[in-house]
Amino acid sequence: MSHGHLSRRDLHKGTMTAIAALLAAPVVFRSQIATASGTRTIAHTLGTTQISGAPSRVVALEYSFVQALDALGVVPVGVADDKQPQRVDQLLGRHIDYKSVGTRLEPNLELVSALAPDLIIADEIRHSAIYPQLQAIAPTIVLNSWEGSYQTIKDSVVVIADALGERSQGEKVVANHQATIAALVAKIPTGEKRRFLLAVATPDSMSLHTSSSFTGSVFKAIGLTPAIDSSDAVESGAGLERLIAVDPDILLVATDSGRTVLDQWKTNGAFGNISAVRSGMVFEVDRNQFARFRGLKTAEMIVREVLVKVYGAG
Amino acid sequence: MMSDDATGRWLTGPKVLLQGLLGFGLLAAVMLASVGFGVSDLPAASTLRLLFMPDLSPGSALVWNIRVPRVALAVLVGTNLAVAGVLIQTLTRNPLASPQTFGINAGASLAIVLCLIVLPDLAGAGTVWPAFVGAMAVGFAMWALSASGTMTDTTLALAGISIQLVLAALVQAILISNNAAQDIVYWLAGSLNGAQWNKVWTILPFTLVGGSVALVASRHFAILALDRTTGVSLGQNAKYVGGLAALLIVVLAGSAVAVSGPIGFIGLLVPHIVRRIVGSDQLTVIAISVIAGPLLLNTADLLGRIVAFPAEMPVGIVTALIGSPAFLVILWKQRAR
Repeated sequence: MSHGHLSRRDLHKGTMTAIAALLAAPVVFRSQIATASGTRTIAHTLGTTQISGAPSRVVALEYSFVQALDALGVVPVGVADDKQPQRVDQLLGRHIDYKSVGTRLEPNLELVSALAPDLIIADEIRHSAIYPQLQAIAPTIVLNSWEGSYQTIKDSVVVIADALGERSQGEKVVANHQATIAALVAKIPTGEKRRFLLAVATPDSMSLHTSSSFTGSVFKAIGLTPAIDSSDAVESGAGLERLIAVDPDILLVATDSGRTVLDQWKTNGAFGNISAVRSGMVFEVDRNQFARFRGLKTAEMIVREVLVKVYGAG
Repeated sequence: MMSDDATGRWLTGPKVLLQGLLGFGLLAAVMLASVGFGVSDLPAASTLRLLFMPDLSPGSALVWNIRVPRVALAVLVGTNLAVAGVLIQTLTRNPLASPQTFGINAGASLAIVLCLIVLPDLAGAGTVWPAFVGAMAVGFAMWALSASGTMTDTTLALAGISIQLVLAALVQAILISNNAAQDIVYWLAGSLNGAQWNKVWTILPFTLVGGSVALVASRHFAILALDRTTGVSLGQNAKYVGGLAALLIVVLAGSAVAVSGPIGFIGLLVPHIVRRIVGSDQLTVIAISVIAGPLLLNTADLLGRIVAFPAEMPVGIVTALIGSPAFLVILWKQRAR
């Protein structure tokens, strides 16, 4: 397990150039879209993929892709939903009909194939190893969702729109989102200097989300300061001593239902020495929304929740 | 249990006493070092001052609520695993036996994973009872197999290892089907990262009772170590003594897994090291294991925190990294003798 963890970090670093190329992609495509009546070449983290026409049977192997598709008005035929359909309801705020293709970690290729998709959207970290198999089933684009920053997720919406033959629609969606965020940011008091931390509580430790995680980069984008500045998105296996050393001023603890290490630590005499605990600035938040979903709508939700919880503003 | 002890030598022999004191001194040194070391920027000297003169400062809270319980937990878990290892090697008359290799740890793990992942609402009741149920099921199966008399020591060992492999596979299956592997990967590797006082209080009664009974009953276990026909001819009801040993193994290993996850190699390695140093007298082996188990586990835990600083390597990985080559060396030396 820890081996897998290391390798995904390495992978992450090793593909920084690929991501940089992806960020430069809009410039390349603007000229192509004009002539795109037939085949489009979509650049993604594992290369380029030729896509023709307007794909309508899309399989999404991460939640963030489902949210991007939803914003573009497309209902995926298949989703790697970890066999938890209620999460997709929560992700979109409405119910859609799709077939589960298994877990995000290990999607069932036979189920994917049986849906006869014409586009597959896969995650760079979880699905690079099965890219050839996916590509054999249908044109596949690979994007970084699992450790995707806010900017990566925004760019991905445009790439997905491009893959659907709806590039301008994607740009419009992102522009609308930016306007929504700007209106929300205006409600945050100026001069906020406190350090924010999102920590995911597991049964025995916490995973600390840094400045380059999705939520951390949302914090940064709206002018807040993440408590840990790092190019590694997540610092996992953190004990209470590490949390005390980070000493966040505002602590958001993402939990699933069931007991987590937070229940344990609350009873620990040293827990009270964290700044956030002393000032009553510890908030439990939903793990799906803060640490699993990642998307434009999710970013808006995160900002709204911070406004309500930290600033008492709706 | 006075002078009729067939195996003769006593704990109070001057050489053993000296070895015990030396081990105790080493243990104390490692414990102090462990309290002094951590990710906070608290100087080691201050931690030691706060250890002996606690005050109301945040540093004192850190030392007394995070570092000290961690060291205490390592002592208790190390004791449990080492004593359980001695008992299971005696019970099965197999030098390869340990709570890990015979599936006791895996049984406890499976039950805890089931509770945490599949029935998260049940997890509120704590991990001790599921751990006992899981360890008990495997322990009972092993005891039934060994008491049935139909199995040789070798087939019993193979049965134990098979059970361990099946249970480990089931744990993997649950984690993969729920995509939750990341959540408890540290716990599953065996970790003292979550140590705090309530875990110390959880395991302490089991260590005290299990350890005491193991020491008091060591004479009976010693006869269990002889081959079964000799044991019976000495007037021993091997089934009941075997049952008591199995119960102790389950209680000691199950409670250890409940607070720290399945830590391997302590139970396998410590009995071998101790027997090499003090000989095979059962009482002496158990008594010295109570020092050697905590010493090995605390050392491994400290190393795990040093090598991966400022993160930490779960202690179960360190014990495996140290333990497997050490075990090979022991086997090789035994062959050479």
